[in-house]
Order: sequence, then C-alpha cells, then structure tokens
Amino acid sequence: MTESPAEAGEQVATPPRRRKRRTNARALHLMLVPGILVVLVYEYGPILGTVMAFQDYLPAFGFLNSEWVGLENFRFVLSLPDTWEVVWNTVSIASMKIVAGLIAPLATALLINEVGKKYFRRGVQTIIYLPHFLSWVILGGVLIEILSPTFGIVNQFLGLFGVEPIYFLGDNSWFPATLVGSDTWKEFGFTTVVYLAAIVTIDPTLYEVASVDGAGKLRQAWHITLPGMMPVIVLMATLSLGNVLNAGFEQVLVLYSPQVYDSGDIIDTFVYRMGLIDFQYSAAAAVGLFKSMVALVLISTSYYLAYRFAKYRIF
Amino acid sequence: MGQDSERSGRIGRRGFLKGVSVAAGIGLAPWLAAACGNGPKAAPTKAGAGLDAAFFERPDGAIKDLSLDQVPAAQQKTSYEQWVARAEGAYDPPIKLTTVAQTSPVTKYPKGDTLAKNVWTRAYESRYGISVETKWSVDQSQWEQRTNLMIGSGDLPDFFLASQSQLDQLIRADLIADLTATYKDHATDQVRATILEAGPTALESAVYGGKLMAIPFVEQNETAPHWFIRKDLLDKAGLGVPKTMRELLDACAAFTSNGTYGLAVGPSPNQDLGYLQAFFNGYHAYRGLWIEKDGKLAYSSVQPEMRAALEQLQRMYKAKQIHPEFGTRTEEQVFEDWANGKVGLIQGRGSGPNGTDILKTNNPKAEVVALPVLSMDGEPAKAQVDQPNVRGYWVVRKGAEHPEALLKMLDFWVSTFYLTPSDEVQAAFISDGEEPNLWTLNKIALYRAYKNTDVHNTLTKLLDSKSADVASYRPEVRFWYDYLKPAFTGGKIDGYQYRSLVGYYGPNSGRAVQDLYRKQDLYMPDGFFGVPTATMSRRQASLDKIEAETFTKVIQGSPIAEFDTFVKEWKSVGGDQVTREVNEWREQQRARR
Repeated sequence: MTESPAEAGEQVATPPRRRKRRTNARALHLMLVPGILVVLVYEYGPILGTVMAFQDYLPAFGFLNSEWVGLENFRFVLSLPDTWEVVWNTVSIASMKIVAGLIAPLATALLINEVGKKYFRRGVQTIIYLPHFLSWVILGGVLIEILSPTFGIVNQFLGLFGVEPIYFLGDNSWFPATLVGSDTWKEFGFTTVVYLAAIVTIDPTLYEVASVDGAGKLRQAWHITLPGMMPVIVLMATLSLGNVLNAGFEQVLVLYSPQVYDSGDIIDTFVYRMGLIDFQYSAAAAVGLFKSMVALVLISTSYYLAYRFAKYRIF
Repeated sequence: MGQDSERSGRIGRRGFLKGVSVAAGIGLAPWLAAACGNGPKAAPTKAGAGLDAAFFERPDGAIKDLSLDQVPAAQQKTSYEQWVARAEGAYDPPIKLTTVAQTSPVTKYPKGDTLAKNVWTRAYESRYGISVETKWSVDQSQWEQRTNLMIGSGDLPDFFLASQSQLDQLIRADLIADLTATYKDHATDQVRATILEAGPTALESAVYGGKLMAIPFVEQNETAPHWFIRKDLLDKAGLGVPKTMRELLDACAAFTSNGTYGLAVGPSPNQDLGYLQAFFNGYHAYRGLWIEKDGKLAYSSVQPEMRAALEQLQRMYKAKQIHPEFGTRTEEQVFEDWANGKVGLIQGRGSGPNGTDILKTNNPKAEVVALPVLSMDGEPAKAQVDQPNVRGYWVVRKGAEHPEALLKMLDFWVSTFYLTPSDEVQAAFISDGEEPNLWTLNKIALYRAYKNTDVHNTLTKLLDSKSADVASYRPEVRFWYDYLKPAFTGGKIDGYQYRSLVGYYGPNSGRAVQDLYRKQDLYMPDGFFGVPTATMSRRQASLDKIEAETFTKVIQGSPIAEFDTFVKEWKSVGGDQVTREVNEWREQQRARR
C-alpha cells in the first residue's frame, strides 16, 4: 500500500476522466491503511507467538533460545485426565448457549415487531439490551446474591409455589443451565436489535398483499417475516458456530467454584488456572492453537453450509 | 498509621483482568521480543567452593539494635536534612540506576510527587548520589506477568524483584550478576541481621552453585494462622475460653443457632477453601505442605490426619455449624458475616479480621480474643507457614556497574523504616498522618520477621506499667501508645481502635499469639522451597483441582471414601512423580550445604 512519489507523478499523464476515478479509489484505499496495520500488528503478529506451543517456552530464553519440543505440549494436554471432561463441558455449554442465543432474540424480535406503540418498543429494546454493557464481574456478584438458596430472591419466589430451594451455582445439575440462562439474559437484547434491523428491510407491500389474501399475524410472521430474515439468521448462526469452543471465560470464572468443576470447568478456565496462574505459557498456547484449529474447521464448514442452504456468501 | 506491611486479607478479587492482560501479552509480546532474542544459553553454574558457615551467621550486636524500641537521646530530634545528609561512600559524580516498580492502589502522593520522584528517591540522591529511574510501574496483581514479558523482551533494568522461578530462569540464561562478593563487602550488619532474622533458609534459597545470585526480599514470619473467637458468645453459652480443639468444637456447636454459624469457612483467592488451616492444624493436618514423614518429604493434604479433619468438618456442616453455601460465597461475604456477628469463630493471620470495627460499633458487647491453633490430642498443635519467608528476590542485571548501590539503598531502608529516630523522619518517609503509606514509595525493601510482634511486646510492657516514660521511644510505638491508651485507662474507644487492639496490640491480640508461636517455635514449615519441579509445574493445576473438589464435596456430605479415592487419584495423576522429584530436590539441597 505504499505510494511512491514516482507513481503519483505518472498519474499526471493519464487522461483526466480516468485519473479522477482512480484518485478517488486511491484515497479510499489509503483510508484502509491504518485498519490493515492494526490488523497486521494485533491480529497477525501474535500468530508468530504460537511457536511457543512447540517449545518449552521460558521468558528468560525468549523464542530464539527456548527448547523445541515438537508436539510434546499437545501430547501433555491430551494426556491430562481433566481434558476430556473440560472439552465436553465447553462444547455442551457453548452449544446450548448458541441455540438459546439464536432462539431467544429471534422470538423477542418477532414479538416486539408486532407492538404498535413506538415508545413502548423503544423502551423495551433499551431495557433488554442494557445488561450487555455490564461486565460479568458486576453481574456475577448480583447473580450470587439473587440465586442464593437461603436468602436469594429467586428461591424465595419459587418458595411461594412450594418449590424446594435450588442451589443454582453449587449444584452440578443446575450449574450449566444457570450459565446458559444468565448468558442469554445478558446478551439477547443486543442480538434482538440485529434481527429488528433485518425485519425493517422487508418490503411492507408483502404484508399488505398477505393481509388482502387473508393471512393473520401468525401466517404473516411464518411466511414473510421469517423467510425475509433468513439470510441474517443464517449469518448469525454461522458466526456463532465459530464460538463452539468458547463457553464464556469471564462468566464461568466469576460464577464457578470447586463444587461445580465437574460440570462447569471449561477449557478457558482450566487453561487460566494452568497457564496463567502456574505460568505454563507453552501448554496454554498449545490449547489456544488447538482451539483455533477447531474453530477454523467449524467456521469453514458452516460457511459452506450457509452457501448450500441459504445461498449466503461473503466472498 | 499502616506500618503493618502484612498482606491484606482482602485478596478476593477474581482477577480475570489479570488473565486477560496476560493473554494479550502472550499473543503480542513474544514476536516483538523474538526479534531481539536473548543472551546465549549458559550452562548452569558449576558448584563452587561454597559459602562458609559465617556467611549465614547473624551479626550479633545488630539484631539487638533492631529490636530496640528506644531512641538514643542524641537522635531524638533528627531532622530531615540530617537524615538525608551526604553519606560516606556516596557516588561522585552521581550514578543512575534503572528499575521497575509495583504500584499500590491506596497510596496518594504528596503534592507534586510521583512513584518515580518522591521523598525516597530524593533521599537516595542526596545521601548516596544514586538517582533511581523507574522505567515502568504496574499494579501488584499484574506484576509477575509484566516482569515475565520484560524478561522475554530481554530489556532488563539494573535491578528488580524477581519471583523464584524467574530467578531460576535468569540464572540459567546467564542474565543476572553474581552478588556474593557484593554482599560480603557491602551488606551492613543491620541488613544482614534483617535478612537472617527470617532464618538461614531465606538466604540459602538464593544461593546457586555456591554463589549468592540475589538478595532475598524477606517477609514477616508473624502471619501464621490462628483463631479469633467471640468471647461474649462464649460467656453467654457458659463456656470458658477453649484450651483444646475439642472445647473449640463444643464452642462452635454452642454458637450455632438459627442464622448464626459456629465456624467461618470462606474461599481463598483462587476460590478454593480458605480459612481452614488453623482447623486442619488442630488435627496435625496441613494443607498443601511438604512435611517430614518416615525420613522423606510427603504431601500433607493426602495424609490420614486430613481425612479425620474433613470428617469432622462434614459433621459440623450437617449440624449447620458452617454456612450452607460456603463453597460459592466470596471472601467479602465471610467478613460481612463476621462484622454482622453471624459467626463465632474465624481464622486470622496476625491482624484482626476485616469487619471487627463494624462488629464492635454495632454491638458494643462484642468481645474478640485471639487463640493459637489448638490441638485435638495432648501433642501441641503447630501452625503451618511457608518457608522460606521470601516475597521475591532482588536481582541485578549482569553488567550493571554498581551492584553495591543496591545494598546502600537497603541499608537506608532498614535504618529509616525500622529505626526511625524522630517524628520528622517518620513524617517525611513513612507516614505524615494524612498519607499513611509513604513508605510504599520506596524502590527496594526487606521486611523484618518479627517487627510487629516486637512492637506488640514493647507496647504491652508500656501499657502495663503505671509510669511509662514513652518520650524516648520510637515514633511508631508512641503512636500506638497514644492511640490505644484509652482502652487501658477506661476511656471510650471506637471500632477501629478496638480492631487494632484485637489484631495487633492488646493482651489477647493476634500478635500475642504470634509471639507465643515464636517463643515456643510452634511452626510447621513447608519442607519444599525450591523452584517447582518439572512435574509439579505441569500437573499442579490438575492436582489442585481434584483436591479442592474433593475437600468441598466431602465437607458437604459426600461419603468420606471419596477422600481415599482422591488420594489414589492424586498419586496416579502425578503426585507420586512429584513426591519423587521433591525428595530428589531435598537430596541436592542437603548436598549443597
């Protein structure tokens, strides 16, 4: 993307009309430079750091002098007894989150779309996407308080219906559900906005025609709104598939405890304890690389599927 | 006044930010650093002639000076100017030293001062001609990651505080200087006495192949676990102050009623069970230590004593003597319970638990006393401590011109922090009344093993005697004397004064217990204090995980057989291998002496 003075000089010789168009494009391309630089430095640069996955990396020796160990780090990680439990937890929690994170906002968007009063729609939209901006550290504290079996408001409410107190954060059978529920609650408002935007792009005449044909609200939603939104739904699903190994590091770290390691310990939290508390950089990098490879395969697959079934493609 | 340098009890932040910053660091720094590369890999230093026994001997006179709380009359009016006047052996022309620093979130700087330029740096400059430049500073929680990145980049300052594993790497990579001669020639008696007060292992742990490779940042020894119990609740239940673990358990049962719990159990910083060491120690069980067994080192958490302690905790949990949600509660919530009088018994580490001030303010009848760890049988119980008591290691970059400057600064630190002669010096360097943490601005430090306990002893004597001549004592003693005097003369005191009384300086305070531990040597030290062994560093996360999981579940009612399963699993997952390595380490350690 460098532009030498010599090239700029040559441009003078080109015919006026063509030159004008080219300069415009050039200005636009120049505007890309900072962005590309940022991506190169912060996204591509660190890729070089993954060499430590194949080394016994020690900071004092750096990359050039750390010992090369081949695939030893991967072998080590796979040999850990926790690995499969942790991978299973990650995949199951992440899948549930992906499904819930698709359905909840979609349903909400369809419902909000049917509300006539503008101020009400705006109000609901704002309120439901607010939690998105709170960090898990804050929400974690709140959740621990309200989900407590002895004094939490949720269990007191359930108690009114004769439900025995549920230890949401300390019971292995409830913990994943609590994670999925709270994550969906935090994020669904934000995703709803995307779906609402998709609904706006649907041609209103379609609805008029449908109502002339006698279709009720449900039929309209089923035959017009949903098909109209399909590309966006497929896109969101595709994008979220890349996250199948991301079950939410911050959230789990804030909410879990040793008694729910069985069902709640995920790859990221285990790596955090192993890699960043015990400073096992190489092993942590190996897991990170492994996660990236799986994500690459998943995204490629889902991209292909999106093309097959929804004719959606970026390139 | 805050001269209490003990680690704060509130560490409960879950610190994922820490993780995020490292994660970013792992990604970015290496390739920046890779370009620079680091020095050639040196063979580990060959065992040298070794350091003679005299090297590890405490200079006799100096330690007496250190524990002396009275100031010679000639020094009582020392002014700031006199204190920082040019010393013998000052550098001319002045030299420059670079370092990196930890920030303290609570410190507010006096007008115009910064972490880089403050009363301490000015003193080093005027007294010794040493100008200290701080290249960067970072919050304590990010310290190890940040220094790792720095080491990775190969851009070392003249001196800095390294962790044990960093020290090990730095030596192997041949990046730091041998300080043997520097220490022999330049360490003053008071510096040597301070380091050796922590026991010989502190200095020994910095000796590699017969060379002293770092100055250990020795820590207080006075932070061993013990109990704080509610005396008023004991009186109400008609019980005396417990003398044995059994009586302590009876007290717990008596304290328990609807909404009040006998024993406070909380999470430690990494969400594992904390506040139970004193309990385990009563059963001669120790959490996470390497103890002597049949002539070998063995891991304490897998011993039968631990099984018995857990069984008892399980019974107490069933009897509702422990908070039903202890596994998911935060450390702050535990302190809240204490403050609200919902707990009768809580573990402390020398200072009084957070919330004692609120407890006393809200409930003037509340009375707290400190107890040492109590034994289950006739054999005296010992309190578990980390050994050696080292917070880190001061290392000097290889090729730095003036390693001895470090020892001049350390000498000034010991003189100023521990032997402050006058109020003016105290106000300038340590605490001026408005900012109690001026002393945290210094660039290099050592902590005396028993300073606070010594202050406690002096104060107890002073407060007991009817006609104390307080004027000749050091500022710290005088401050506490004035602050706590009302408590001994029948005056009214507020919650904060009460907390100091309970934690530090009263007759039944935590410090009194620490003094008892010291006098009767009731410590159970960690037998392993080397760099984590190969298997240990690889498997620690897995081993800790099953341990925490099992302990929590057993307390909550899982069959005690799970403990036996845990022991088997622990051994097969790497525990046996770690045990072998730890014992190999000990053989080498013995050979090194």
